[in-house]
Amino acid sequence: MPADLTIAIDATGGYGAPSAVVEAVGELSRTAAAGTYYALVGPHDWIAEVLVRTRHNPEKIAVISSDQPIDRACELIAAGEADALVTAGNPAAVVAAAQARFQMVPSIDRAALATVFPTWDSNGGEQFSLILDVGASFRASAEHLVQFAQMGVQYARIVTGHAEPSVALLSSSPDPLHGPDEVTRAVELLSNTPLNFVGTVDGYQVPRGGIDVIVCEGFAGDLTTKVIEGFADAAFEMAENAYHRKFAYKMGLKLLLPGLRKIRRAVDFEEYGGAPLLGFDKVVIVADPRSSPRAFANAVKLAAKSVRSDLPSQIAAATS
Amino acid sequence: MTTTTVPEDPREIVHIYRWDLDKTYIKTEFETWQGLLRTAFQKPEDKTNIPGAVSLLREICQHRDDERVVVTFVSGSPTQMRDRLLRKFELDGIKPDLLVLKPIVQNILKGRFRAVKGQVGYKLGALLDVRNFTTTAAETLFGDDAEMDAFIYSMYADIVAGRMDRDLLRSILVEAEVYASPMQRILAFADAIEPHDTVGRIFINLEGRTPPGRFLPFGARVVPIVNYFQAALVLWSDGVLALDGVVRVAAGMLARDQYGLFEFANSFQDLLRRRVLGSDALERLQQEAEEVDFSILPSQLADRFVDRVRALAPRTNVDARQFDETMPDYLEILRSDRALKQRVTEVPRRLF
Repeated sequence: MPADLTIAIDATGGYGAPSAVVEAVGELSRTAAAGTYYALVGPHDWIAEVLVRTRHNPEKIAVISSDQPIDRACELIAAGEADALVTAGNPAAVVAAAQARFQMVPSIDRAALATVFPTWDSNGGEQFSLILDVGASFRASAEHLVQFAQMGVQYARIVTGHAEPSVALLSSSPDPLHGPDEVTRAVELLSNTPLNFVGTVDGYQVPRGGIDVIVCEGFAGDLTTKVIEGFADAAFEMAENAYHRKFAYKMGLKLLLPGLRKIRRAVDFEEYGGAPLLGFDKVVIVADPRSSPRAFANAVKLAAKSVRSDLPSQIAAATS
Repeated sequence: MTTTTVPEDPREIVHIYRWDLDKTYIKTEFETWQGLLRTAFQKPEDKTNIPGAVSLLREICQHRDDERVVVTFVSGSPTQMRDRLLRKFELDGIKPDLLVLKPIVQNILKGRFRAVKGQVGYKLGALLDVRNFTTTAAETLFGDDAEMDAFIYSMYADIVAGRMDRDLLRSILVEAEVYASPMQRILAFADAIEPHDTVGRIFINLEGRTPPGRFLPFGARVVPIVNYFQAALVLWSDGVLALDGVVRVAAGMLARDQYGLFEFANSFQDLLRRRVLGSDALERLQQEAEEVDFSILPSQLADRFVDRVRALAPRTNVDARQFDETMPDYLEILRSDRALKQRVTEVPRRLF
């Protein structure tokens, strides 16, 4: 574990860049613990222009000038000058840059993006599940799905503290024999591992909880998480509109507000920071391109936590 | 007309350093009643300095035997704190030539409540009051972002340089809601001054982490800083301080304030980024570093610092922003400051 910690941050990633990124880093720099530093990577003048208008502590921030910020950040990490990368850039570009500079952990040959999302148990209590891959690549073979399951289980152990997290494959049906070939083949392979594999789940089951780790190919995972986020956003926007339209709605919503706010927080993707890119020997966090400064700051915090807990080594130890 | 002066001394004054106290020299919290009370009753030995302030003060007070450097403090702290503050200076090994404090209790008794919080009338009046009307010695000012130091110091610089006419000065004081009697006093001081453009840098310690860009309207004279290593670097680049003085300031911060290589290098880069320093400062640093004794710093730190600063430097050469004799638009600054405060206090109407 490094004594000092430097997080390299791609200042150009995301729809709100560089303002959202710089604002997040500015806020973090003001409260950063001793020995924690941030390297903002991107075009120098662009970053400088935003930074000068932002509350920040420059003692904690270095600006690294680059027109290829993801590549440059990976270079810094490979050279030992930074410890982790946070970016809201295109996941495919991030994976390509990481592949060029970092090593895969032993027994893993495909990286996966893992993210947590809220679920509810039968008693209405809040829970969280982990889903991977959510977009590091589009397709995955049965062998890749098994590797994702191994990495996901280890990450879930770190995040939730469960010794034996349950793991399931996302498919078109809860029946393990009905689904794409790679999924039915992965069912067979996973049944022969020591993992707590519970079979397949369909889309209906995903937000209902009960499974700690859900494994799927990147295309399906990305779609699933975005539908959940989009549905929650739309529902709350409808409530907001209703609130301003009718007095009766306003009163009703006022009464429900504490509970609704709690649900809002639970389904708010900004709370979860970003998705760790599992499978490399370095920490990489991919944030949602829609990230606000708060979401971005949470992604940077997740990166710091992952470095402090030496996530890549833990994944390597569990999968080798 | 001067009611408060620095002690007499036959030696020639070569430089005057004017300091604010709270959040510039010592850490103070007066945004809350709790913080205010704690500050009021804090023992001198419990008061904490802003990192590097004492080291820098010691360095800038170095002078030849036949010359004199003057250090004055003009603070918004109440006059009742004088003994505690003098004791604090004594503990720090600092001997200010003058300490001016605010008559807060008198203001309350006279019912001038706006003057209790307001700084423009008090501080500008005090700065003009303590100034020798004919001085030609260079002045460097130190303040912070908690109140209106940049505004007041910048106005002071323009008044003593003879750039601000009486009508404009009066309009600004009216806009700043200064009471009639301090206003008359300031106007009288301004009338009596023999103009000399003596004020060089105005350093503003960003204790509240105000965005440095907020000070751009004041021009290159006003330099926002986050630590006194930055102030030392700027004074070195201006030829006021030698590089070994900067090294001693850094050594003090290393020993007492947990500063390290990254903080120093990032601070240097920040000055380059904001064009307070130009690329030539980096070249000069490298040249002068060869002749400076770095033995008070940990082994290799100076070399690593220069290497890191070079690595972080902009790819193309940058020139430092130059001093400009154009006056800031003080009335506009006051109005936009008020508008900004109003925007900050407006709460957006969102349900979730």
